[in-house]
Amino acid sequence: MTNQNEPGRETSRPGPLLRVRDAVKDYPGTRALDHLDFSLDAGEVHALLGENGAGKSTLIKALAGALQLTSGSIEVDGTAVDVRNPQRAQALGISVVHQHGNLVPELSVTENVLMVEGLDRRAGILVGWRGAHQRTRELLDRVGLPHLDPRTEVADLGAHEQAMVAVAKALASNARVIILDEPTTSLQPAEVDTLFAQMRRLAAEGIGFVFVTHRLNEVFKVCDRITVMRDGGLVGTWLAADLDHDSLVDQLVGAERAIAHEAFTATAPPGDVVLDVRGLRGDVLRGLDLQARAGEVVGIASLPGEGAGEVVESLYGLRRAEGEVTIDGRRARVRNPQQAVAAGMALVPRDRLGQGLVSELSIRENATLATTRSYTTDPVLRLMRKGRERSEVAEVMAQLSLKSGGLESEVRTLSGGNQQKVVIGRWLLSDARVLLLDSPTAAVDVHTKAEIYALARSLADNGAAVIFTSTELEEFVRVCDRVLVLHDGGVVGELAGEEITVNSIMRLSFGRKSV
Amino acid sequence: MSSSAAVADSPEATGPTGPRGRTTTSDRVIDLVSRYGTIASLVACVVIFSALKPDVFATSQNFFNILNQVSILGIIALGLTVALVQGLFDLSLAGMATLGGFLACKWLADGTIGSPVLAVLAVLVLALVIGACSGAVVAYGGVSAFIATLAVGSILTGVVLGVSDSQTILSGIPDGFLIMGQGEIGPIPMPVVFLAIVAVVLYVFLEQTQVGRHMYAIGGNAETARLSGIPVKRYALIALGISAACAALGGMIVAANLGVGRPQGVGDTYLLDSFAAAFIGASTLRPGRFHILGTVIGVLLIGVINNGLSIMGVETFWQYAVRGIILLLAVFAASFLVMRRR
Repeated sequence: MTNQNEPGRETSRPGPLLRVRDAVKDYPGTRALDHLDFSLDAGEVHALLGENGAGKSTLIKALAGALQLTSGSIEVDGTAVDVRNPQRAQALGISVVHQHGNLVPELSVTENVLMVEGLDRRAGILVGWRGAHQRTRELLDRVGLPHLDPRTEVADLGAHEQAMVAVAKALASNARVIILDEPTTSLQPAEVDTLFAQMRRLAAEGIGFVFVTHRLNEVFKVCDRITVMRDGGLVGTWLAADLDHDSLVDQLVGAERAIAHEAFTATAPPGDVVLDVRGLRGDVLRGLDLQARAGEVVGIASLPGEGAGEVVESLYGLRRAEGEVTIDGRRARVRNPQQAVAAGMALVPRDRLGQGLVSELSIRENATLATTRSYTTDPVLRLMRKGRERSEVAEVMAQLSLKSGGLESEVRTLSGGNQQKVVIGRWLLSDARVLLLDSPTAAVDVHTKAEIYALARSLADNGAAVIFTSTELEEFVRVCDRVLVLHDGGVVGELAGEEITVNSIMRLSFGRKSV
Repeated sequence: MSSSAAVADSPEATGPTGPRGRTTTSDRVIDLVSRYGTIASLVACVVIFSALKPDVFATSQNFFNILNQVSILGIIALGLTVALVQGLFDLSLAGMATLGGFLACKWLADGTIGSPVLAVLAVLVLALVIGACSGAVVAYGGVSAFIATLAVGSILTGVVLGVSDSQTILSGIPDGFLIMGQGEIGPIPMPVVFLAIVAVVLYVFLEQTQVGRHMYAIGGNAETARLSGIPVKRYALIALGISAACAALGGMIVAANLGVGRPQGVGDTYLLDSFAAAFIGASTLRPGRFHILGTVIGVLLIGVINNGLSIMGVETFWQYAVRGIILLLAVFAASFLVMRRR
């Protein structure tokens, strides 16, 4: 392993443009940055890699002035600086370009590019449009868009043009450090190449890029150095030339991940096919076949935006898709969640508070949200039989060992893990045949995670088919009996039993056929 | 380890559930004040007015008098509460109330409909349909309820003025219709009977039926309701339909009470007061949640203050000012509590 702090190298060239020393960021109960060192030279493109939760976004937020470090220092040009707010970051020449651009689509290119810097003024009040457009044109020229009319609305631009306009906006505030947070997610391969060419050109002008991505092949195309983070700490920094794809994956995942965790995989052979999907296609999916049997937990893994989330959304009627879906042999036509529920599907969404719960309603009311009909007295007046409702909810919540101050207390008073139990309990009360679990363990602690895995398993053991997806790959290893790995909207591999490892999933999802 | 870092990576993900389990004394006081503050002020008002004017204010006759005065406001405000449960502002209720009162009088006076009962039912059905149309514009047209009902209210006002030629209907209204506003059952005035019926029906509707449960869910988090398989859109039609029907009923009682069918200005007096009552109600017992019992208390509070101040001989402008201050205090207490909890 070639680590960055080779003594000779640092002295033989001018000091780095940006340097982070011994950065620590503590949140109650967790440490998001753990004595991290990072440096960026002028004129380099530096990849910042790590799994979800490794601490990349915490580092970026610290650099952008969106949060304050608990300890440690940030230096620009060798001088310690206090990035106390985003305005200060901008003044120091640090600019972040987010995944979906920090652009307002309804405004023109000029208005967006000069948003921070300020439009030209005439007589102190009126906008000097001619000067503003002219200045924008010069900036567009620098990012390789010389023919773009600065009066165009950003909404009318292509994805790569938007990415470059966002870079132009950073240049407008004289940024010398540009942090690109997954800029290629929405880009076509040819557009990615254009973006990279412009990045190299700007790097040659002395700008330093921090490039965050999940796509490892891109790292080798454009980056000079690579820094890998894990669990908030530094794994290492290497020259891109010193690593290859496989050794980089090893660094990302870490050797200790091979150690087995407590598993929640099936103990009995699966039953009949419950969910049968044929030729599912949409704007991302390219003809996907999927079968899940009673008692099975089937994982669907992919990089963000490459299919896993889209499968769940398509099955539940949240995303336009074509294809044949049958549940227990009955054809299910699902165009909206209402039809999905009627067909026997259930969703545990990723955003618990935004999509899973009504926070000001009680635990009981949240738990029976999908099954209110089964408690009505008759189809006309539809009075709710609250006694029966109460006893059934109480039974399920006892089974889930929910910790609460009573079923009538508002659901927002619960901890994250207990809230998730209420969402899962909702579908235990229904006779759902297919459960779609979309990152069900997001932002819950390790112990509750294990409880949720156990729940996923018990849902399957009750005879349902469970579809599981997550952004954390080790979850697939612990809970899934089979894993379909998608790349670019198509299945590139299926793993079962012992074949399911973080490494094998990662290799496949980066588009490598061989495991 | 990586999982705990994931939590830290997005601290906002735990958002509203953030700091828990620490209830300080001041929190508890704020909680008490915002839950029972309006009820306490209602009791306080009654006690103070009774002490100051025992022989005028604290009589059973004045008690029914207050109820009679607030019954129309109450009926309209209760309907509005249903719309507000779903987060829908209904600004058409002023126009709707005027239309309801005028149409019933017109149909009965010119003999289009002979039976007062049928006329009332016809107006209620028409109001339901118009409200549902506003709801359809909101649900399927993506227009905010605020704007849609503002537009519909303006259209209704125009229609009544056009149809009536701005002429008030003074004669030909049968006694069977006037009973609605002037009759009594025992000591209880008819408007109060209607208020009681509407309050009970809507209470059962919101608290005890599946539709009511779904409305609260949609008002709380429409996306969660949708993902739970609830057909979210059609509930806007129901909510605004009920709101419109209650407004029309209120308008008809006004007409029956006065014995005339006025083509303008009937509903306008109730528009802002019904919002005030519903918002005072949403700060009572269950802060941040619109509910029937709360609205009833809000309506009573407004009624007692108006009546008491009148009896005391306080000028009208003071009555407006005091009502405004109480509304501010009530809503402030509730929102303060809600913010504290976030």
